[in-house]
Amino acid sequence: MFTLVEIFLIGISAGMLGAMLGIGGGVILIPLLTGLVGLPIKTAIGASIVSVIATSSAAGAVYVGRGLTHTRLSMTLEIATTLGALAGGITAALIHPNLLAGIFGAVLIYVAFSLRGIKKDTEHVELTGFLDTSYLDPLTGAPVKYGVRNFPLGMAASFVAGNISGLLGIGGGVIKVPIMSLVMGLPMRAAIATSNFMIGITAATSALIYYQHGYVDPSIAIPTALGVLLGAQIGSRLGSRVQSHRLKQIFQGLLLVFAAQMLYRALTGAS
Amino acid sequence: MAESPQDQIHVNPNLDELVHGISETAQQAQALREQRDVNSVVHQMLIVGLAISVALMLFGLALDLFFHRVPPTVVPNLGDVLSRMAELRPSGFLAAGLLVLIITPVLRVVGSIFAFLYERDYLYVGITTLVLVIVLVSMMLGKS
Repeated sequence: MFTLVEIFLIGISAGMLGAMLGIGGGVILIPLLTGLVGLPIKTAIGASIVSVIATSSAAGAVYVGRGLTHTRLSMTLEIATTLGALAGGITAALIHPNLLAGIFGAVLIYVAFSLRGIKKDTEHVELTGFLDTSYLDPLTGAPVKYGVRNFPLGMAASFVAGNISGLLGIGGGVIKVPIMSLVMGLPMRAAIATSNFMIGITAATSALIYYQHGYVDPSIAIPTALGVLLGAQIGSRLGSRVQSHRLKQIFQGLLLVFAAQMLYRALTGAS
Repeated sequence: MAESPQDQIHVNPNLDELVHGISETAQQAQALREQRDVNSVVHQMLIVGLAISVALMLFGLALDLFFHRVPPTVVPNLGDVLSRMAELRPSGFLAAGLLVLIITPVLRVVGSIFAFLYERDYLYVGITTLVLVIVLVSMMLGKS
C-alpha cells in the first residue's frame, strides 16, 4: 500500500519535470500512478485531471499578471474544446479500461515525437487583421503585436485536444501549443499562456464528470495535486539552470517506456 | 545578444515622426494598463481559489491525522459535502477542497463575461456565455 507521502512525492516529481519541460504533469503522472502504484487507470486519470487544474490555476495567475493570455482567442477556441471534452469525458466513463490504456499509449508516442519540433526562439509573428492583440515582451519590454492565422484549422484541432483531454485526463497542451504557435501564428509565450487558460476550463469540465462517477479518489488525488503544485514551483525555478536539450532527450525516452507499458497493459488486460 | 540598445542614444532626424511615435506608444501603454486592471481581478480570483482549496485540503488531511483515520478513498455526493463539513468529518473538507479547485477555472470564465461587459464587447460576452453554458451542461450531463 502506498502512503500519502509516497504519492505526494510522485506528485512533486511529475510537477517538477512538467514545469521544466513546459508541459503539464498528466503525461507523466498517469503512467507513474498506474505502473508504480498499481492504480486502476480511471483512478489515475481522476487524480491527474485534478492536478492539471491546480497547475493551470497556479500558472494562469502568473501569465495573466503579465498580460500574455489571449482571452478572446481562448474563449472562441474553447467552444470547440469544451464540446470535445464533453464527448471525451462521457466516452471515458463508458469505455473499457484496456482500450483507454491503448489510446493513452498511442498519445504518449505522439507526444514523445512532437517534443522534437518545439523551439522557443526563431519565430515570425505579424498582424493578420483577425483577433490582433499585443503584449509586452518580459525580456525586452517592447510590445509584441500579432494576429491569428488558419482559424478553422485551429478550431478543429481544439476539438481534438478537448476530446483527448476529457478521455485521458491530460491537459492537452501538447496538442494546443504546437498548433497555436506553428499553425495559428501565435508567439510561443502567448501560445503557452493561452493554452494554459483553456486547459483549466476543459479540465474542470471533465473533472466534475469524473467526480460524479466516483473516479476522484481523495486519498490519491489530493496528495497528487498538492505534490504537483509544489513540484511545479520548484521546477519553474530550476528550469533555467538545467540543460533543456538533455532533459528533453531523457524525457522522450521515458515517454516511450511509458507508452510501451501502457500498450502492454492494453494487450494483457491488467486493469 | 550582440548589442545592448541601452548603451546608445538614437537621434531621430524627423521630429514629427518621433512625437507621433511617443504618443502612439503612450496610447498602447494606456490600453495595456486598462487591460491589466481587468486581468488583475482575474489574477486575484485564481490565487484566492487556489489558496482556499489548498487550505481546505490541508485541514482535511490534518483532521485525518488527528483522528488517526485512513484517508477516505471515495468522495461524498455533491449534496453531502456541506453536512459532512458541519460534522467536522475529514471527507467533507477534502471533497470541498477538490470542488473549490475544480470550480475556480469556471469562475474565471464568469469573471471574463463581466470583463467583456465592462469593455462593451458584446460579441465576446456572447461567446464567453456560450462557453459557460456548454461547461455547465457538460457538468450536469456527467451525473448519470
